[in-house]
Amino acid sequence: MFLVFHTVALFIYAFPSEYMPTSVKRLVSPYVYPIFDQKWSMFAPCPLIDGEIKMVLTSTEGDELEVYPFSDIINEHRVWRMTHHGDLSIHGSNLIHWVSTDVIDWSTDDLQLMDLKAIELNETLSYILLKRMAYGWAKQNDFPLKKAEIECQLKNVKTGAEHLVAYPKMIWNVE
Amino acid sequence: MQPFQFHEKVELFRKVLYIFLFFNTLILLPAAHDLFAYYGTVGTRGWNTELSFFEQGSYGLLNLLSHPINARFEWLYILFIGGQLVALVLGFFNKMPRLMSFAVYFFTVNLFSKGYLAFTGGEVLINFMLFYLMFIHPSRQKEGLGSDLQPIVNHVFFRIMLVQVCLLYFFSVLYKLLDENWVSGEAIMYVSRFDAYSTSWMQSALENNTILSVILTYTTLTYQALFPIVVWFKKMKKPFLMFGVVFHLGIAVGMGIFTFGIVMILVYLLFIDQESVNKIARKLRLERFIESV
Repeated sequence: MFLVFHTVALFIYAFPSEYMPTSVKRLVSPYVYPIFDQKWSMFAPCPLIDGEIKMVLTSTEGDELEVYPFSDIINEHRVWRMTHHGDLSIHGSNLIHWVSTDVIDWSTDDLQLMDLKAIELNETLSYILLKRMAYGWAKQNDFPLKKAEIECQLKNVKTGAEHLVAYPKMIWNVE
Repeated sequence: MQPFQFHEKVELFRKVLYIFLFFNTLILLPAAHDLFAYYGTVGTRGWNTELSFFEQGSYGLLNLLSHPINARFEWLYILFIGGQLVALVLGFFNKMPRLMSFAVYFFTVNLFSKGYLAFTGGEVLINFMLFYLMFIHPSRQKEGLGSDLQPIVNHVFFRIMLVQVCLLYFFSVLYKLLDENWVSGEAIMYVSRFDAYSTSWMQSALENNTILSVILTYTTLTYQALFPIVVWFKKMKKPFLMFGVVFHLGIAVGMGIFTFGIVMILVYLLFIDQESVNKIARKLRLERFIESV
């Protein structure tokens, strides 16, 4: 009985939301989440937006530093498999995924960029994730961070179209 | 209730999974701060400070490394890594196996939750498998401990592990079939254009080769769709799983999604017959650790 219940609960929970009423999903969520939280939609929909992240960091003394936090990591990962570079590359890819989720108009066939002026970019998830990444990078590299400007150069791997997304300045209050 | 006859199989899986996790953690050490520290580049999962720790329920227990206290004691993640490694070693040598299976799950799930943005379905599957393994142990009735419920629990959780793997494949193919690029067969061609998910040789072979992409995309879809069915047929299972090993090695090495590729191969141990279990245990020289259970 428990086996059947567990299987049905996971089945309902992981089923695509378009085809499973939210009310039914809500019934099993308290059991499934967070311990058995799962979806398994790996690489579906097929990822189409690749990109590169550029940070311009300004220190408390006013020094500027231009950083491409993932380019060396991805280059290493392409040569050396089975190292920590793989996980860090996935981190970079996931950041690009969240950036594209926030700024690409997925309802259009050619996946155009949304009107960025109409979006409160500093309230998006990608902004928060990028801000954490910039702060973490600076802390790890002993860079006294005051300000960060982040740009993402996105590329649609299907159409070849490119888009530049410039995030609002991120400022830290440093005493 | 019939005795639980899959102990060797489950124990072989547990040992191999522990070995893999041990080396996986060592491999991640150079990036440990990025992934697991409160101010690592991956960031935290967030913590609802308006709720008390107890009000967070099990979510709090699985996300301890995102608790704000880690900001003050940033080294706490090192304790989790150390704890995981020690628990894996003790668990491997059958020292306090029940306690260690819990400890391995506790430390691992917290580490993987913290580094979630750099991880894949492989880490999620490991979490589930470690959770289910906490319940599968030899009966302690002979020692005068416990009740005869243990074989029932073993049977249930062993089957849950098998079902879990089948659900993974089922949903993996279902979500893909809802996407036009997978259905058109072009998905693998597009994925190969990502530097993070390919190598230079993979890119040159695939990035503009629609025919090869269609073949590989449909091979992937067919394998994943057939898995939950074929794996229950003894005769077809062996060659099918061998194909699966090659398929997942391709994901691990070709696409560079190492943990996911390897973990999927490891879970196949749960589906193979007893004879193959013995053979693999002998080859890996793990027999004595399994017999001692």
